[in-house]
Amino acid sequence: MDKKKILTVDDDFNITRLLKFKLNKEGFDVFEAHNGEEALKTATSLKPDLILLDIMMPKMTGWEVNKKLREDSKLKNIPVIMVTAVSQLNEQLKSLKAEGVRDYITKPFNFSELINTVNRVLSQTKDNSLSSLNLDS
Amino acid sequence: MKKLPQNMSGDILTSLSDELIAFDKNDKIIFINSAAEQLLGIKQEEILNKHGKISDLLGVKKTKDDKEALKCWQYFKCTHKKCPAYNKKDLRCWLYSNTFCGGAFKGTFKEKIDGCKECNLFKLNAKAIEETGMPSVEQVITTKPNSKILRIKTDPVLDKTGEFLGYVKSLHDITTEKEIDRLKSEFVSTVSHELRTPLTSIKGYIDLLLEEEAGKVNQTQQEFLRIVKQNNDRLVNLINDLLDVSRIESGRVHLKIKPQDINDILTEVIDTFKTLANQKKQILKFKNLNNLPKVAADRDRLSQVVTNLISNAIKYTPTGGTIEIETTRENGLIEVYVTDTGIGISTEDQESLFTKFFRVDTSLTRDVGGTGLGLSICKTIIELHGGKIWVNSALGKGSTFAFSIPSYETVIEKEIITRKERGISREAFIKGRKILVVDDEPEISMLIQIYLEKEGYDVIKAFSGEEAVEVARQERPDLITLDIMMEKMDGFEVLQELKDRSDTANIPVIILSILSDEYKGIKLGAVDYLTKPINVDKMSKTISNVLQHADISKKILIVDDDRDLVRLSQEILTSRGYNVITAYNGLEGIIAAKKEHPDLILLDIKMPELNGYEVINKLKKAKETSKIPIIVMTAYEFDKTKTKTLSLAEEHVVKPFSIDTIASKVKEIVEGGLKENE
Repeated sequence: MDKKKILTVDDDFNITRLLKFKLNKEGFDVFEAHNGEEALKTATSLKPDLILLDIMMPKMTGWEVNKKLREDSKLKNIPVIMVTAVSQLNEQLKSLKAEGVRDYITKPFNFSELINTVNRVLSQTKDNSLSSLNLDS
Repeated sequence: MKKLPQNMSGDILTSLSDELIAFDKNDKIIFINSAAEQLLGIKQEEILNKHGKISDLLGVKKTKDDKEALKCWQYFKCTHKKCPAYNKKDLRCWLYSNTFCGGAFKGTFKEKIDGCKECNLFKLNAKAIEETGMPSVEQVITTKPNSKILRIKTDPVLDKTGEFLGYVKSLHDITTEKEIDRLKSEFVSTVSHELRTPLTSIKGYIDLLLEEEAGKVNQTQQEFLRIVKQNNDRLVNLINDLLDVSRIESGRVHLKIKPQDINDILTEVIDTFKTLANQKKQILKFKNLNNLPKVAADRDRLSQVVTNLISNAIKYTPTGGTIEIETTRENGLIEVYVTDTGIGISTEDQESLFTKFFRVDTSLTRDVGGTGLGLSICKTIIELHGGKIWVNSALGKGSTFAFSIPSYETVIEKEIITRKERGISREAFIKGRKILVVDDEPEISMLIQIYLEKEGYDVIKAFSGEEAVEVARQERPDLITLDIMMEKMDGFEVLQELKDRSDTANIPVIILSILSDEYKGIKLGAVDYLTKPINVDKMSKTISNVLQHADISKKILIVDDDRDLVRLSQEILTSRGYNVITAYNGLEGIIAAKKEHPDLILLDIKMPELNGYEVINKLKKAKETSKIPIIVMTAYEFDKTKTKTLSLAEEHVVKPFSIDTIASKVKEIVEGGLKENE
């Protein structure tokens, strides 16, 4: 079976490198992007199975990137996991789950939390690729 | 006080740098100082002796409340016709007569003011109509002559005998302060983000090294890396605590109060500490009292408190010590004790223990580390729940940290019995609960809003069915009150839509309807209603809701002339463990009710001869049957034209009845409250 492709988006190179290193070890094919524009470009050419998206990025925020993904008919089914350093956004995150955001992890994260979340979202997408509603309920 | 020389007082007021505007009791401007002239960009000649509202002068944007201000004689159905304010567009009857807010109340000005302070309707309207009777402070955003944020303080002017002469408003520009406030919270959130990002890298790469992902790590290196990791974790915790404090201080913490099993929460938290206690060879004991009533609490927040107390106990207790957690109940309060055999706290230190950034200074505490924020956060959380937190300790003899928290039952009982004595606990319980009021008639929704806000709820409103669904999805209220008779999309359609959508299906809805024949059953004392055709799930839900304390098999009487329906209901209910008795007409129903004493009656309304209303009437009058809850069954559809006419012709009587699993507390409050005002 083909390796799953994951795109990690963060303006901090250390963090994308960290994610890439760890997720590679877990058997994923990992790609990096460091701003919103790059993320959308890479997503279009790569068609990843999952995007790990940082929220607070200069120029284009994670929310804006996600919105653009949903507007693109070729990209709108790619699940997103938000990576946030602001814990207050929890509510907002939950409410936006319906729009393609499947889950979130807060920085700093534990590897076990990261990997569990990634695996869960990927398996849910496989089982139920058409439904984008309320996977947490 | 020494009397000022003649004219001096005027000069003093004029020279004051805070803006002052004084009004007489007829709202005529009688004084304005130069600071206020400047602020308003107006000369005193232009406005002196004129009637003026401060909001007009400053270009304060009108809020909805302005239009919706109700006259108190109207709201309270005042019969004090002698009052000069009666039937006038004025709320201040208490100023002119010996009455306030509908009560026959005589007293001095001060006593009346004190009375009004208790009256939420007054408070609400006072703001809208710029009522001036009581000292008040409000913040307004002005547009004239330019945009500013002002704090306006209003004080009544009284003469020596206490007679009301007028009022004085002092204005204070707080635009800068507000800006600083905003910057502060922005700063906190930015800093937290900026700190977390590098910490993420530090933590991540250390974890990689420790997992030997980058090659073999020798024992000393492992040890050093662990120290870096621990300190990194400490920094993360500090940032979390700081964020918490900043959130609590700005009042952004909304508790999600639900009935919680305290022993359950404690067990869960204690489990997470077992490894740590084992490492320190400490004994972690849990003495839980069985059959404790549920507490009214936000689970996450309460866990946070318990975690903090146990973690402290473990930290400050030497190896081999004992930490004991105990639960007890005391006058409707549940108490939790965390006792350790640790270093103890001196009496002086105990006083400051719960204040922010306070840390007991000893060599051990320096070793252990901490931010000095944990206990202050615990205190705030417990107090928001309506409980107390305290400590008993002596140096060298260990400490006991304890807190109390009200039981869910007490909170509800308090709501019902002493609704007017507003205890902290019920305020904490209600605070932040959002209720969506749906009604296309602004007057009615205002009435409901006033009532609910008086109770401490946050109220949002929708004026049409479409809007209601939209707002419900966005705001996720804790409860919705829904008018049935609305134009275009009526209440039933709204309800259907809400229940069909997964994101709103769980929001309890209370139907508030204009009284019509259809709902006479409820008016007469039925607790709930069911619609025909009967929805099986809904029926059993409604029943279990009414009989929520049921633990043994309950007896249900079904009264309906439709034999098929009776048989069907009987089958369903029997299969669910209920003991069912049936009756096929009103008279049979009454006889069966008297003989069998059922726990609940399901009653059809439209029956030949003795109809449902008459049955309810008879049952409610007879002592032995008056307390049996009745659920009426009524046809779903109703004549809209007829009810529309009804609503025009009749007095609007608002009456709640629940349709789904309504949190019983809210239901009881709303029902009780509206009954009171009927």
